[in-house]
Amino acid sequence: MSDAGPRVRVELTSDHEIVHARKAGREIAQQLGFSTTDQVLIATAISELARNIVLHAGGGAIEISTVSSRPGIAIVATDTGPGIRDVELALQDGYSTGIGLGLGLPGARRISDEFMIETRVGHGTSIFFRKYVP
Amino acid sequence: MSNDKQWSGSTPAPYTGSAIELPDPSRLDARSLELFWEAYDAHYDEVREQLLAFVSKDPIFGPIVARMDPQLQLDRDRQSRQLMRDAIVDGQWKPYLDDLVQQGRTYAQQGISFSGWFQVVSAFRGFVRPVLFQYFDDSREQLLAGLTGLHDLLDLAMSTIGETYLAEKETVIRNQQQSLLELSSPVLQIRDRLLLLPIIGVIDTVRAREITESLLAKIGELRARTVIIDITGVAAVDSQVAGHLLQTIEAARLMGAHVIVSGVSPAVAQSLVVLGVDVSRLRTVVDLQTAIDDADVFASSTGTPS
Amino acid sequence: MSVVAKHGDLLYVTLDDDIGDHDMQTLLERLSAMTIRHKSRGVILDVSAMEVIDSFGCRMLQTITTVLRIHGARAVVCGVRPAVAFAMVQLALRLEDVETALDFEDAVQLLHVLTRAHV
Repeated sequence: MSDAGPRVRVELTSDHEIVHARKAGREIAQQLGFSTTDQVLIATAISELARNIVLHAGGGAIEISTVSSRPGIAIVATDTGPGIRDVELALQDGYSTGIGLGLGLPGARRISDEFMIETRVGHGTSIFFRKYVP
Repeated sequence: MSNDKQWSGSTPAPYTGSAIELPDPSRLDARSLELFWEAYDAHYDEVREQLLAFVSKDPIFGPIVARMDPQLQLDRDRQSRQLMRDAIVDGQWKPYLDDLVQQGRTYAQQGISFSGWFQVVSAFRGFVRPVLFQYFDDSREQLLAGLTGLHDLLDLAMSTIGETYLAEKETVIRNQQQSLLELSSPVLQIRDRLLLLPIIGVIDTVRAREITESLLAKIGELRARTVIIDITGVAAVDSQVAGHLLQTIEAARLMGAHVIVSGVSPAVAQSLVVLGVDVSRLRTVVDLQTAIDDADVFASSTGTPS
Repeated sequence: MSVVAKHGDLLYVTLDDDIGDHDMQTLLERLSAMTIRHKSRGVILDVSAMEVIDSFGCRMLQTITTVLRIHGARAVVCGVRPAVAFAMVQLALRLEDVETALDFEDAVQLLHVLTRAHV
């Protein structure tokens, strides 16, 4: 994958970096020509993914870049946390809406064009998210 | 220990935006092209005359050519000839291909059928072929190469124009769909701070998004306090449609608008119950008139200036 | 940082986009203290500066609303931007039991109705 476009990596240790990550994401989305609505959607998804890492994995990183083949944003959220035991369940609507959990995975998947989770219990999780300019 | 891998979401649709993938002329045989060019260039005027005669009889192109200033036509042909020469002889393909793209775009925008253009190209092929036979009378090998050059070049031109033509048509269709979408879900202001959103027809994900976005924008713009969503025109509601509807209502509520749903048909009401939609979260009334009365009551209870 | 101001018998709070866990705790304490001190019956939570409201934002608004309710005050959230509202429903974020109004003016009116009904 070529990396001609902008690429931002935000290390996540506390909730202060979450704002930084979503602002960077929104900026890249804007540069790519996403509508205001899509920019906010993407920023909210990043916020959820990042918050997930801070709350449940204790730390990790989020990397935002552009897709090379066509206009689109690529987000990779990686952590070395406990991993997700049941991906199916985590992606089910309703699983995350309980107060306190804030996993936000089903929502992030719903607004994505491509979505993939790689997880190993005890080792960590990587979430790949892509959305293309319509 | 588990190692889960999970792909979901749709695979990306082929990208058909304004960027068009141009064919690669470097794959073509340069010598064949040059031989074709040599013969064509030598008999240029003759071929042009035949082609003009053919085109002027064409029901589509004829009137266009007739309206055109002969001098302008001549200039344009001269330019095309130069572009083709620069491409074949000097390897300057980009300006030539760009010109073809422009042509394809123009045809599509003017509504000229692709088959009409195809016939002109076939005629051109027919006029050049005897020229090549005559020109390479003494060499069968050169004749074959020249013919290859002719076909290669025309195939390249056809695919370039065709590609552009289709892309342009797709844009036209998309734009029309867009305006249809906007037409089919207008947000109407009934009076100060009261909006009406009549939903008619099929609600899919794209349209639901369109409707919600325009409604939210209008709520902000017109400072709406009450929104009536009339679904008299919605024939059937499945779980997806119900979900979309509830999302639209919830989004409007988040912006502070009070939502009233009117025109729920018996069939739709039954589906809502069967689907297990939380009706307690919905304010529903039988028809539009009741909804407007309801909005009035709401307005006076909250002290909205009317 | 978020600002709390007194507006007649109401409290007016503007919430910032970059509010974090710690800030929220501080804000909640200050808001509680002010509500009790001024015997406020209504609090306006203005979120028009928030470019994103995620699950944390929702939880924050819900927590504030509930805590204020315990202190005898009603909260109204105002100024949710169209794109923010859209993103919230797309991501299935819920703002249950939280009253909303379009803007400050509407929030004031709504609070008058809510607190009147409460008495």
